[in-house]
Amino acid sequence: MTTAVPISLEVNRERIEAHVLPRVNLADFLREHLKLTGTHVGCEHGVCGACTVRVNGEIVRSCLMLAVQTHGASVETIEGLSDSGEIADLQAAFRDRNALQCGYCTPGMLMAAKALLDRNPSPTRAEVVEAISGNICRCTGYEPIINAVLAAATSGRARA
Amino acid sequence: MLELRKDIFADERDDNLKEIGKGTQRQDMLGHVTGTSTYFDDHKLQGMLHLKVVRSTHSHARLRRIDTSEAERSPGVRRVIRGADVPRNLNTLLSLINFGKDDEPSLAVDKVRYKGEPIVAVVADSPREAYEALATIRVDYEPLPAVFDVEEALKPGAPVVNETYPKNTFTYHDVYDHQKLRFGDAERGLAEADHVLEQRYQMSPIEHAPTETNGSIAAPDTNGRYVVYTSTQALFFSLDTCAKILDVPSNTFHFIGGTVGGGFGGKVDTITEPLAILGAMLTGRPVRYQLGREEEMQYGPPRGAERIYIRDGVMRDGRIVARKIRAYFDSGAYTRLSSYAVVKCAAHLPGPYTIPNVHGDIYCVFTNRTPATAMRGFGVTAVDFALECQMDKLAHLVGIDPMEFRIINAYRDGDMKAHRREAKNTALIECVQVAAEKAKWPLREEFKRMSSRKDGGGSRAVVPPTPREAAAPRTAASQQRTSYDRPSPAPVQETPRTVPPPPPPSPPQAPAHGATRFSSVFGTRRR
Amino acid sequence: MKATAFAYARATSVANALDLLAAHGGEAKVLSGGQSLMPAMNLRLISPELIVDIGELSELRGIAVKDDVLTIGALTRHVDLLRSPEIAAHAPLLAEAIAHVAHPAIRNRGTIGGSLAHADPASELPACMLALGATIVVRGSSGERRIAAEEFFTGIYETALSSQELLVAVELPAAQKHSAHFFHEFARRHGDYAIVGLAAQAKVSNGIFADLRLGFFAVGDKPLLAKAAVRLIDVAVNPAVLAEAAQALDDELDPQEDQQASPAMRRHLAKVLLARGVAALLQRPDLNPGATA
Repeated sequence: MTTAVPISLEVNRERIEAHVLPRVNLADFLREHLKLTGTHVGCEHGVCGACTVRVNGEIVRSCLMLAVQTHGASVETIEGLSDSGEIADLQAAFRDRNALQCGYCTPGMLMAAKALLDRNPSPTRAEVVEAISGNICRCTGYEPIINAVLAAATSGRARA
Repeated sequence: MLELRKDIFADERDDNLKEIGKGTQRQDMLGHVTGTSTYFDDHKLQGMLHLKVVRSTHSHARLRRIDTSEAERSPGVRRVIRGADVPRNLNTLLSLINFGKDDEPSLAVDKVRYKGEPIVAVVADSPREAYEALATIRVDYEPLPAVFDVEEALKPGAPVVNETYPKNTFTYHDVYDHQKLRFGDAERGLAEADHVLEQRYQMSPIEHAPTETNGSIAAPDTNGRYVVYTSTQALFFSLDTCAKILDVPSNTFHFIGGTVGGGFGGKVDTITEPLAILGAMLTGRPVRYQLGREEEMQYGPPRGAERIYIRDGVMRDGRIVARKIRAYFDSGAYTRLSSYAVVKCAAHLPGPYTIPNVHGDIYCVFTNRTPATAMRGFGVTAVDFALECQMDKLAHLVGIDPMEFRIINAYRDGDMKAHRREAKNTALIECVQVAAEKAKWPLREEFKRMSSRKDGGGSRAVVPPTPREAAAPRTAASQQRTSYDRPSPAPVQETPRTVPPPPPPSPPQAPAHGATRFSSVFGTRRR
Repeated sequence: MKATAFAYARATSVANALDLLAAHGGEAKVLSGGQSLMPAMNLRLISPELIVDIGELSELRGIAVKDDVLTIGALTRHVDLLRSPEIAAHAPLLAEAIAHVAHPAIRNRGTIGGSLAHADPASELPACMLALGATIVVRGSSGERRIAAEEFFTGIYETALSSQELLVAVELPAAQKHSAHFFHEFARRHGDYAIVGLAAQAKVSNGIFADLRLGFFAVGDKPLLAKAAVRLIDVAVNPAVLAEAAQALDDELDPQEDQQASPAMRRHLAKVLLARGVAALLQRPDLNPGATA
């Protein structure tokens, strides 16, 4: 049996101290240890994007990171982004455009969309498609999601 | 008279109930966009254990020996569950409505019938410890010949997939090995048709691939009850299935769900709940059983593959006069819902068309493949695909525009359907007209004027004489068959028809916009 | 699925990482970006006993230009290459190729060192290294080795790296005047592994190739630096010359059969890419008639 490793990190701007076995991936650490269940697990090998979170400001697949790798890092989940209000435009646009059905891919989609709009506040439709191409949705056929991201970009610019 | 006080909550209630045309908001939208909606796996219960299963590596085999002794001693393992531990280890989903025989074990005992069938369940403190225990379990298989093709499975001497159904077909009402539809005399209709077209259509099994995999968490609750958080699409159905398998009154369970990460029909088979609950019963702790992604894709039930043969007799004026369908549903190793799919398929024939002679034989076949289940209109979607491809091919064959071809053959109000029910509120003609208009597909004026409410009934409302399995009449030697590349036949005197033909719409002129014609029709044969 | 249990060590320096690898040999795996290692472990395709995490080794990160040589640290992430002005200026082929690697979340973590050490024959970066004439810098307990890219990739997931060595950097000649590059891959969806791909780097002078390096990927068990390129160098390229080069390419290829394509399909696509690449590099659309962009 391997021994637990101490880690210290920030999750949604809160300091977290924990002891984790090396094999625990970040998605499981967030869900099981911290009870932050908004990050969803779909495939466990980096293909579906449902587990997308932000580490040190960049989106990553939390199923492909070990919790021990986040020692000293800042991790943000859908809960954090939602509570801070920084994705309010996107959330409203998803609601208004019915950019979801079962909702399982939605946290990951919002993460990917936010990462796009942070870098590129006026994306073209093709740029939105590229940005979310790593997030699989089995329900909507993607069009309402793309429309929602473009709508959120518009309302974000209007406010700026 | 009791007067209700409408002033309270007046601003929340609009009594005119006019919702159509207004946007409306889902009640779970807020939870979904904030990541706070609870899917079954978001319930983290204290002391929760994890269940994983050993799956058969053979498609068809006898289980000679199962050695779980090392697993029982494996670190973190709380319980190893075998078929003998399941109170009623043989079930079929639709036994709840008295349809079908119990044929599927929750855990295989003496035989496995598909690759991936669960044999042993291990309940451990963590998923990793469960996996490690699984790896120590030894199963001695005696491989048996397997069958993977629906028609092969029906041949005499084929391996028997499931002893409950020794002929590899589901048995309806204990007697019939397939669903039958008989209306008129299809063999005669085919013999008298100007053209006969037979085609074979083959669907693949289709995996739902929901982003959230199948799973459930069962936990002992108070008063000897169990609470079950589940991804099922069918809470009551799953609850009753578990009550039956575990042989307890149904009020033992409190099923909580309804937030499903994609179902599409793939989360009705109740594959994880019985074992999760049994695990909770045997350990006194919460037990979680979720399929991994590979398990979901490979062993989660797909929409069953179907093979459909359609043989149609069509006149040169576009009327389909006979339709004969033979279809085989690949149910996989167990019935689950395929018996019902076959009934739906039979009920759907021959499509939304009035055809005077219809003959259908639909089989629910067992093979050594992953058991099939529901998906998005299962039983109907595949046969519709086949029927509509066939309609296009027939239209091409007789040189008629495919939209107009459908209008010619569409059922109309008052017609007798092949199931001996009167067609009411039909609307195929109007749908085709609207679709053609929106697609800017030209329809000739006479077809734009046709209506579901006109020209139905009368002689089309009659149930034609339907022979009991008479020998097929011999066909005219020069009749064209499946004629994509045959030369035109010499003209022949037709034998007089015994069944008065339905009043045909006026014979169509050559379509003006250039639909291809290749056969010898349009005037060279005398009727 | 979850990975099996393993021990974990966070390397504090390259020397420390090498000590760990020397002590554990074949039982240890290096974790840099994790975007190839972690899926394999989660699917239980590999179960190393020890993971050596080199993620903290900032000495392995960074892009530097000196004396016409571009040095890229092994731990440089794909997204860094994509955003780097040095790469845009001196190795634009890389920037274009990276845009085809998977998806944003993967590019934020994946590293060039990891991608090259993983050596998936369908991946983009190894072929780019061939096209760019890169040198792979590798360090072991006995010192440093410099391995030409052509000798580095030896088979499916196989390289010249020993289990006790660490890939520390790649060195590329900075792009010279008259340099041109071409990149294209055929894939079912954007971000998928390629069915066939081409990374090409050339020097073009007065419409003639002074140099041409064609790095094909997903054409066999390793990327291919096509010898057929020599038929296009220092000659006036016309359809006949191109056809001969295509034939030579066909003779060199030994493509694999898999779920994506047959060998025949891969041969065909490789020749299509050859024509497109040559036409683009020479700015001669006449050499690739009937093509869409």
